[in-house]
Amino acid sequence: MANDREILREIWEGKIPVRFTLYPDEVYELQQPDEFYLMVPRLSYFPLVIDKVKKHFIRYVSNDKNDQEMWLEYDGQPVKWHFPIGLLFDLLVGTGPDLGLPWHIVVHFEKFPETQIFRLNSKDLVEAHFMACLKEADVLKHRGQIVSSMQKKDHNQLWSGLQNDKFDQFWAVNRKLMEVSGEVDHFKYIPFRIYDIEGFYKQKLVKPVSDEGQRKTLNDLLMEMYPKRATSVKVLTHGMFPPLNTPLQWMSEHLSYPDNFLHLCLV
Amino acid sequence: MAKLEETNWRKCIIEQIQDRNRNQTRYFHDIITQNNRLFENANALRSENLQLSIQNEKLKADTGSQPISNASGDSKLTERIQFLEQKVLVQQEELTELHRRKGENAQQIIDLNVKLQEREKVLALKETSLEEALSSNSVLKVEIRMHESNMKEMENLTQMLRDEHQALQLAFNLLEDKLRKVQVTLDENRQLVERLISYKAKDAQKMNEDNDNFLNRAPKQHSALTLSTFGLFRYVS
Repeated sequence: MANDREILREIWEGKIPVRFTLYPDEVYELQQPDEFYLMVPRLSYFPLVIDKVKKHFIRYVSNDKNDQEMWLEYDGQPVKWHFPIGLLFDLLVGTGPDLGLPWHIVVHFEKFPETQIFRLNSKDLVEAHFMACLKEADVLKHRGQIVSSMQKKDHNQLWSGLQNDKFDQFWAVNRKLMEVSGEVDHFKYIPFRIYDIEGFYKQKLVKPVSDEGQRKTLNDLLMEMYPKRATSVKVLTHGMFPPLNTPLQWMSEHLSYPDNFLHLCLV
Repeated sequence: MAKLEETNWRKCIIEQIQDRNRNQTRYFHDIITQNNRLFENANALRSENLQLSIQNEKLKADTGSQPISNASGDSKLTERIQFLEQKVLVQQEELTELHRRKGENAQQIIDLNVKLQEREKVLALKETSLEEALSSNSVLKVEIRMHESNMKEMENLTQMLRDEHQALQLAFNLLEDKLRKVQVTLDENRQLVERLISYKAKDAQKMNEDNDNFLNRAPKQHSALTLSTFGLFRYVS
């Protein structure tokens, strides 16, 4: 049971300061636009939070281009905005004492990199992607029984809770997804993705308990995924390194992103 | 032992997250909200500034068009200008009035044109009906003439018949008279014949008597037969 509200609350409240600037070559006005600062929730998605940014910068690009789609770049790479923001930050910036905060993101209006990122020009598309991930996670955990027994209203509540940063609204429904069903006190499989440094991820069917009925830990997961170098890797999620003896079941219940996946970055 | 372990990893995690939130969120939160607020303020002020400058320009333009009475205060000039302005105002009003009237008139023209067209249509209709009536009229006239001639002919015929009738009547009367006369003569004739017959009968009787007398006195040579036959014959004729 996901009952450790203190952890959930702290995770929910994680925000990253971001500094948005317009790509200098696309400035059409004489005056350079001011930078735009924003606190973005780690658990949210970029397309949900950048309305204001777009409104701010669109005045500075030429008129015939402002109906084009906006996209984001960090360090010369387009930002894959279908990932949650916290995951992107962990992937692209990492962790440490000096992160160079606020996070510097460059805004583009031209030359949309179609081959590298999805077009998420409406919130409906993001919602569809989010719901797809959620359903996949539930299939892994409960064979999809919970999510399919929910009503459309519950799905909407999940989504609007995430969109409007309402912790209680979101968790009122998400709690059901984190419950274990029947006699067993664990999920069927743990929904997780392990990302390497290039941003590619691996998934595998991993059970939260071993064949002998013992609870598996993060260490066991790494042993299964990378048997050769399990001792040399560390895992980063939510901007911190969970200890190797953290039980997988507990991690899945408490450290999952809103799409119910554990997004782990390999360091 | 297990409990201790659990608290260990949990403590480790929560410390890290709290640390993270402190470092990444709380330090920046206030400053960025402040920045956002300043940003909005700046935007609002900028747009207000723009509006004000536009207003300013407008006011400037307004004042520029008005004569700036210099320090001398040329009251006569301003008075004249006011007078002219008023005149212009009146003229403008007149102009708008005229424009309006023009519009009304144009509307009226259009309306009247429509009416005229309607009338013309009606007229054409009437004309065609008139033509029809005229043609039927002439036809009827021709008929009348025909009937009249017929009648005259008839009259002539009747006259002729009447004349003939009269003539015949006359002839008839004449003939009737004649007939009557003839009947009278016929009667006379019959009486005469009767008288003649009676005379003849008397003659015959006398002759018979004479004969008888002769025979009785005359010679007795003649055969009795011949004498009787002869006597008979004379009697009969």
